[in-house]
Amino acid sequence: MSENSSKIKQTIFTSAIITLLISVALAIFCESLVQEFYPEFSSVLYLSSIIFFGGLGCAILNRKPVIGFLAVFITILIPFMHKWLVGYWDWLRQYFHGFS
Amino acid sequence: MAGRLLGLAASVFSRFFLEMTKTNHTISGLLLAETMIALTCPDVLSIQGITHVLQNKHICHALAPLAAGCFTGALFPDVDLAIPGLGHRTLTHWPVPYLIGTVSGYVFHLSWMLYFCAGCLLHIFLDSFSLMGVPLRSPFGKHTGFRVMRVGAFSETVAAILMGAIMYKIWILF
Repeated sequence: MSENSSKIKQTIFTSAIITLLISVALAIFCESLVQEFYPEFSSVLYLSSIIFFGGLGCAILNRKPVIGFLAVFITILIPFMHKWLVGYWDWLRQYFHGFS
Repeated sequence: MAGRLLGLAASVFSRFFLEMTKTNHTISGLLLAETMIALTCPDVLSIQGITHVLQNKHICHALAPLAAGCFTGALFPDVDLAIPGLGHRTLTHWPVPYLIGTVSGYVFHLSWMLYFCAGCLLHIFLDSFSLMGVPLRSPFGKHTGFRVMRVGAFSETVAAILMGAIMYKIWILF
């Protein structure tokens, strides 16, 4: 009985992770398509909110407040990382002349 | 006969409020969402304003995370009731992460995080009025609070009605 319930839990957890990963990939690659229906949509904000709520969930399930703090920290960091990457990508394209 | 009916109606009404302990938190979430909308976009809280918002996609989508964040935040800390093994009012009722989240959301312009954490803080503030209190120093430590009302007591129903009145007043003001 306990083996079955642990298997069910594992299946639910794995499918939830896969769904979240697919949604993040869709948010990043189909951002303009989503923006047609939801103009305020931002893939960066979506990704950061996924990490925030996922982190909170992990912190509660594992009973470790440190994971919650870490989730808040990474959530704040993601928009800055995005800005840095965008800037770096432009610099890379200029440096390699036409690399896209 | 009329007295009996009145008594029955009163008992059904009070049971509805007494058994639904989340009523207060739901109303408080709505109140917070309404106050935030009143502060950020005062023109919205009118019939014409709502029509304008519904017609304007951009305003509607900008206000949706605000309302959703406040409402879900006001109910989120009670998620511990659904997790077996985790005691009620322990980790999820510890205000420190939500305080950090609120300040960070304000400083780094993450509006959804600001509103969500503000809703959670409001939930904890309201819970601190109950006899059980909330943990302040550590998530699994001693509970503290104002401790003035019992969960499910008549005073809680009065508080819910008062909050409803405040909501109505804000609606009228803006």
